[in-house]
Amino acid sequence: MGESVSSIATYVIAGFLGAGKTTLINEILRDSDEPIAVVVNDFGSINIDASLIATQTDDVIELTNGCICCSVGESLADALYAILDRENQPSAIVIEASGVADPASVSAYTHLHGLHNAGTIVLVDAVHARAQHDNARVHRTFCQQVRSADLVALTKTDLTMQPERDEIAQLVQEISPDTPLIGSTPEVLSQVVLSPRLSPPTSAQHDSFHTTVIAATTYPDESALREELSRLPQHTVRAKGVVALDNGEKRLVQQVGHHLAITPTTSEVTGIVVIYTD
Amino acid sequence: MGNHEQSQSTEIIYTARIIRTANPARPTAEAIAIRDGKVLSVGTLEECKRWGITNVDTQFADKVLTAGFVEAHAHSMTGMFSSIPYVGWFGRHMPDGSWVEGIRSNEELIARLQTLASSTPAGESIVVAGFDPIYLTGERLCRYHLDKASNDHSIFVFHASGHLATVNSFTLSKYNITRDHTSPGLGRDEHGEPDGELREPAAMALAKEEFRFVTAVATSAESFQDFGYAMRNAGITTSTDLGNMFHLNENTRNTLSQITENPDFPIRLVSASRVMGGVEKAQEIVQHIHDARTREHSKLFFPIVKLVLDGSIQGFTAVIQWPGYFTGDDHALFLVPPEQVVDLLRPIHRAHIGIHCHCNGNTTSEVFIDAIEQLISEHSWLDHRHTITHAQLITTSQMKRARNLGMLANFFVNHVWFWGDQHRDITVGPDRAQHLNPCGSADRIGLNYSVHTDAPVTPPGHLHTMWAAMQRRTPSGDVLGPSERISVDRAFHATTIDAAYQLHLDHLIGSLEVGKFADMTVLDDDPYDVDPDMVKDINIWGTILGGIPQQKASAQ
Repeated sequence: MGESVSSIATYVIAGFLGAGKTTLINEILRDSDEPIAVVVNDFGSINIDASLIATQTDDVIELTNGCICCSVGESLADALYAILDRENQPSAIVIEASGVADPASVSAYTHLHGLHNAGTIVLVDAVHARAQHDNARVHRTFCQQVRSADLVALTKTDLTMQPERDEIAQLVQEISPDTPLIGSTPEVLSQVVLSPRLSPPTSAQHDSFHTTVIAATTYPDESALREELSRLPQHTVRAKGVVALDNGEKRLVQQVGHHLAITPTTSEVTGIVVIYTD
Repeated sequence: MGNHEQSQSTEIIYTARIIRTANPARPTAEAIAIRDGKVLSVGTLEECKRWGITNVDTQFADKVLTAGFVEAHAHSMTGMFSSIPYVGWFGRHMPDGSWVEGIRSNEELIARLQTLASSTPAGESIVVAGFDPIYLTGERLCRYHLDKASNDHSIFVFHASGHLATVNSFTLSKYNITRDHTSPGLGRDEHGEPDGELREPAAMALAKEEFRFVTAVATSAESFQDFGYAMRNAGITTSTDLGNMFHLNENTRNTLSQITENPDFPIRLVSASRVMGGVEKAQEIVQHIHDARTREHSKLFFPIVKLVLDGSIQGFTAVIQWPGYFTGDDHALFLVPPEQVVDLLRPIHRAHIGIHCHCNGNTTSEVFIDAIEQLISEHSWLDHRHTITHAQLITTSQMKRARNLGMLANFFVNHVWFWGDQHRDITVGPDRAQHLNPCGSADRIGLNYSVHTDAPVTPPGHLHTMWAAMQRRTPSGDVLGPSERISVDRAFHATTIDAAYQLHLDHLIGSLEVGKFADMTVLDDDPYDVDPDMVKDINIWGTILGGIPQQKASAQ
């Protein structure tokens, strides 16, 4: 901190096999209006629309919208350094953790020079969560994933009834009482992750999302900014925006659940969009 | 080089004090006749001469020739110690034949680093590997120790576990790693200052150049060549590079084929791709192996792939059944979702490619056995020889199931010596430590197996694995699980023909029988004839590969 060098916001998306990580990543790649880099375990499963592919090598697929998709290959560190070595830097990086990964060990890579940790989102499959939790072989992994989450997103909620969803929500809350939880479709989730917009994400059947804006005031310093952000609604899911400080520097604010990252930036001041639930 | 071609077509007879064939139908012989690099006759000198060969070479008349040792689980990064100085606790032979004494204290490490610093221009990095503090008493290594060696060089000490590196203050400054750094993998002193410890690859990678140097060296063509030398020096004639990533790109695929084809490359190589990523990746690997098999030659084979299911016992990352770990926290780690294993292996099994699956814990052995049972019922490839590699904590009931399913085991029996005391007292406790790598039980059950070094995790060479399986001694003087000890004959077969069998190569290597490659290990003494405790100390002269003597490098 302290140096005014911008670094790349880096997210980790974790969750069991079948929880919807790939769907979400597809959604992110398709929706993004900023150049995002995603790092995935397996190109094959990503299934990018051929018409969106600009170039493709063994390790990297470049899309026509400026996004890139990188394969982990030999090591995650190498994949991330390869992104940092690129001429055109992405505005954010999304790392897909493998289905059994400890998200904490993956998010440890977001501290490499040039990156910063923007939060871990763990997807929980509403249909199978109970069985996964009760399975002795993977019980530990399940709990570990939920505990590492800054935000838990319940997926496949359209395939479950409200009582089941409540039960899973309670299960998650028991493992990690303070972690915000949303029930969400991939479309909504992708919007939440990428660039929260002023119009609240539409959510016909699940949580009702609200948005608010912290106007683009100039803050005396970073601690004043932190002070302001500590007053965000309790069930804040996501906050993002750029604000100015009195000394002329600017700060990018990113919050996922309770995880707050404030980093130097040179982007335009936008104010901060906040998404929260009841 | 020309010598190789010439000798290939030469007929020759070698005599020896005794020849151990690893063929129970004719276990010993006094002479071996070779034509075109293959065994023409193995028996009495008279029998060999009846082929009309007059060229009798007696240079090994006082030596012992055995069927060449086969290593079914090692890694080509064994060769990296010719580029990266070795600083492990046990002394070790280097690829060039030189002997490096073990490092027994932080002070010895500092002295070694000072010597390196004196011959390294200021500002350059000094990277060393193999440091193994599990055996050291006293202070834990931190940057203050390393600062005594140099403040003008970046020092990066890569630990044997592969999970840790320690760096000096110069390195921390170089990468601006201060107390404000947010990485969770930074070791810190009591004042919250980084103490130089970088935990796990995520933190090691903060020292970008040094970390990348280690990974680049580990996979370089030079290290690969040196891997061949290191194995040859240890008496190995065929080694597996188990779980490499050479399939990932065309350049490395070509390198592999060029290096092994060169007559200077002194071993036959089994290259086993590591299955990583999802089901699509597994299908790609099948395609890659089909392509690679078109480039096979007499020193390069692609019979199997590797899958890794868990971590290590001493790292508390192996997935083990009740009652779990004896002391310490359970950090059990599945590397592949257990419910995905069948889907991942299906295309491989269907393509009739052998699978060696790393299972240190018994939960993971069970997952693998379950998967194979399912795959065999779907697709009846009966000669699959799928192998549970490490299998350190496999239970007797799992061994019976594995036997019934036609599976095999490859035990990491060197653990009994290198970490046996720690397993008894710290990781799994006395009961399970007694049956760690249960060769004796496997014999009673009828489960066929090999044993391995996992080099560079333990030093390459099968005299040591034979000894470990026969004697099961630990450094503290214990005999860990006397009922799991095996005979010299069993240990010899486990390191030759049974290893070849699980690589689907026993028609070519593993024993001295007519028509197979004339691959031998040349020893000064007969393992069957020395005090069992001395088996590991028998001097290795070198090997004979396809009839051609390959004397081990000697640094003098």
